[in-house]
Amino acid sequence: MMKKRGINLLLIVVMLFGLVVTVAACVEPESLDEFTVYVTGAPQAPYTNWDQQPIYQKLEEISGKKVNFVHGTLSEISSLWSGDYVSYDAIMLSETVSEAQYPGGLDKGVADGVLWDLTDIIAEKAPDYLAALEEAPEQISQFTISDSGKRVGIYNLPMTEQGPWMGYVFREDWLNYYNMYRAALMQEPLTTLVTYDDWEGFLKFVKTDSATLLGQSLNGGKAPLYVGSVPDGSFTAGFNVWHDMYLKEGTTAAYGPMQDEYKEYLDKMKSWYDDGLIDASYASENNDITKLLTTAIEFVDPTTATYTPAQYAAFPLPYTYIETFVEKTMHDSGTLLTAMALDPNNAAMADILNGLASIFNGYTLKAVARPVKTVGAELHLGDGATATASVVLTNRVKTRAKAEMIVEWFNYLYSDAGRLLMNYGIEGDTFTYDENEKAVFTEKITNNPDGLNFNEAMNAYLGFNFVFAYEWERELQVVTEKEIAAMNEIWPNDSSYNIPTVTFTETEGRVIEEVYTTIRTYTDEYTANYIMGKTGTPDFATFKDNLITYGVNNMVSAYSSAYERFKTRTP
Amino acid sequence: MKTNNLNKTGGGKSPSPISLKKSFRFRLKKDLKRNKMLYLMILPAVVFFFVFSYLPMGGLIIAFKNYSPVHGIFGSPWSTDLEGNLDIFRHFRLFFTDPYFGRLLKNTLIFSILDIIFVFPAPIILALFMNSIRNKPYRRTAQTLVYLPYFISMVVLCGMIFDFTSSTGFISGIFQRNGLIGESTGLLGDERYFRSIIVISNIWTATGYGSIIYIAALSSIDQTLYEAAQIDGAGKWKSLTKITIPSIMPIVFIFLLLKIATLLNYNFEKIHLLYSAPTYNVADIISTYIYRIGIETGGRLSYTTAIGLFNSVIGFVLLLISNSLVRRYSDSSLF
Repeated sequence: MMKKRGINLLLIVVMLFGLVVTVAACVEPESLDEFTVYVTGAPQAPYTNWDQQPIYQKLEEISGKKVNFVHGTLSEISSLWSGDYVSYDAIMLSETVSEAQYPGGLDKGVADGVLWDLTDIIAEKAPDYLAALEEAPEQISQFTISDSGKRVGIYNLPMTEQGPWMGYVFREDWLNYYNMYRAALMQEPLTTLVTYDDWEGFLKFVKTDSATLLGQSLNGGKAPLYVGSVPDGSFTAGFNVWHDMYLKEGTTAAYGPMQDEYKEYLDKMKSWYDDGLIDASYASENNDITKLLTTAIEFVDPTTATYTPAQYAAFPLPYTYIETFVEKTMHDSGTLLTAMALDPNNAAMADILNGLASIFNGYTLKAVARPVKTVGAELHLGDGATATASVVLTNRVKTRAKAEMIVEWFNYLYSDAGRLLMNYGIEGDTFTYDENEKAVFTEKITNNPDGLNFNEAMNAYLGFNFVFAYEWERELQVVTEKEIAAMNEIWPNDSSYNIPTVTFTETEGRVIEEVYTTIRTYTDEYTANYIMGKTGTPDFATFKDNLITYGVNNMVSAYSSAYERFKTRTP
Repeated sequence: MKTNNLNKTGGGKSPSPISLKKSFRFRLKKDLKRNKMLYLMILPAVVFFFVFSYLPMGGLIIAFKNYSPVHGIFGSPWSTDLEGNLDIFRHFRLFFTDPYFGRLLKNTLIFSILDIIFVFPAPIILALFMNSIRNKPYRRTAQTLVYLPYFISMVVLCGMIFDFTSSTGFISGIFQRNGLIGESTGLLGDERYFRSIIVISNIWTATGYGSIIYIAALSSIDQTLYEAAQIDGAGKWKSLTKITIPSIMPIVFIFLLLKIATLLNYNFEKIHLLYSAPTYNVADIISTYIYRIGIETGGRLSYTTAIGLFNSVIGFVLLLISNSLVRRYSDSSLF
């Protein structure tokens, strides 16, 4: 009996102790020395977490605060809001990716009690962030406040305007042949392609007319223009229309494919398709732009088993590839031969390499702007300004003191010292100063001894895919003048007709959700079928009627309301 | 039957509810005691299915709600129309009135029926062929070779299909030379050939692996049946139709039933990896549409759950109908 009583007492003591420990844990004040942040950037191997990387260790040393990074993906963010968000003091969002936002917008997040309204705290504790905002391009600052004027997130701030990192290039060496052909026809030579007619004439020359000048077609008579499987705006902009939502005449939200200008675009593409200037199977095969980098140049024509010159006279490329494309292709072919265990000293293999060299003899690419209808016509649609990534604080942060601590930590990343650390890393290790006192990367970044390419080295040793005062021009150290000119001078154009990243109310979001997939599916399908001339494709008026039936007007109204609110945003 | 048994145990008296209850409890206790090791062994499987198959079914409730990840499954409000009036069947109604509903249903059913007609019998035929091969080393080698395609990853497999049937693929080349498709066009982007490409590739990948179960069933047939048939003068054809095929029919029916139950859940990955806008008309199926709405462009989880629930209900009804038909015309059925 006594023994049983003893056991009972012992159990009670254990339970009470557990209770006390649990309560003590619950009432323990929030740690002001560390916080946990969900980030969407991945660490660069061999690191498995940013907290192992030198700049974040340096930040810990400077701030005295420990940051626990949890690496996830953008698409996982939408699932966090069902409850897992409470594991993180801060979460990194992206306003351009629908799954990586707070459902219903940041104002709703504050109203739901899930997100912190940081307006006062930023005003008080983040002077460097606010100063950087002043310095950053004007259009960026409008994205950093919510529709109701709150500051809910701390945003990544590109400190200078960046041009498009991708655009069209064409074969400059083939343009020289084209000019010879034009001279014979008593036509003025072209220095670049400006109008749709210029493009059409050049493409036709490459595919067929070059045979009259050179005895054989420059590209073996194949389709010379590479276009993506769905419109990306490259060829719609010249008709003053976009392939999705845009601002008609720069003022009113409208759905591009509903406009008559879109039919002009369709007709132009159809005529190019009928003339064989676009791949016959473009809509089912030209779907992966990255694949182009390895397959655009056909080394071996599988139908004839002979070496053919590159097929494409014009295609899109990232700016960093314009001058390195040929080099890369040659390198890839060499790697391929090695992978195939073929001996490059073998006579047949030497023939292949010599063949490649002759193909690329004189191969030069030149960046080209989107085509326009007439010389002097202005473009208003392009790569519009979009919101960038931001970090928001969740209601896991219970006290203002902790919120202030986190905001202060981020504020450092916008200060001069923090900016240098995030953009260039550690002096003497990843950068030094040149004679003009300008920070320049060491070979650890530009020619990494461990075999990391430039991007990988930046990810390993610098701020990458995070929020800070981002000086994207740091990349230009490894880019040629010609490539910089493509991004800064040739590809950019006025994009005042592009609709900015807007925030929808819950009802507007539902309206768009209910109709967008159907409208998008129908538009993509109709566009491909119209251009390819598929039998049974309805006329354009029926297409527009069907879009109205599918609810396009509801979608446009939702965008209009959201855009009106966006225009009135003031901090 | 139960009443008779109880009458026997109860000595002819009709049992009271209490004695019935006692009797059940008694039998359960006795059974648990006697087979405790068996129950213990099955426990992980029961827990697994409960946790991962039955418990998540509670989540189906979001088909009737306007699901918001912030409010969770049970905290999200019931579905309403855009004016805020309660309308718990809204997502179902939206699907049934979706402009693509008819096309999606038609395409899904066509793919599934083509599979049942062409892909489903292929492993059975292969197993019968394999079973008739007497040279063991040859049979083993052949079996291994036909199993291999199954182990190719779907992405790699679709890459191969893409390379063979794109405009520069060698199969497209044959069609181009014979004038069956236009110059520089591929089979893959031509809606006349898309379904054939899917079905033929399914036969190629699934036949070998699918035949394993039938080969096992064939090897379990009592050899004395063949000997007796031979003595009675039955030839190879007679043995095949009178002994071999009837012997594996129960397993064929079971697999057919399972196939019918998943009629509306057609192979998503392959279609998704190979279709494109020009072939949507014949290739877009319910699951690819769910993907586009739920993940690619929309994030409409309630809507896609409603479609999924519709699929499951139809699959279940089809299973019940086909099961009762099979039970009526043969001895084998699922339940």
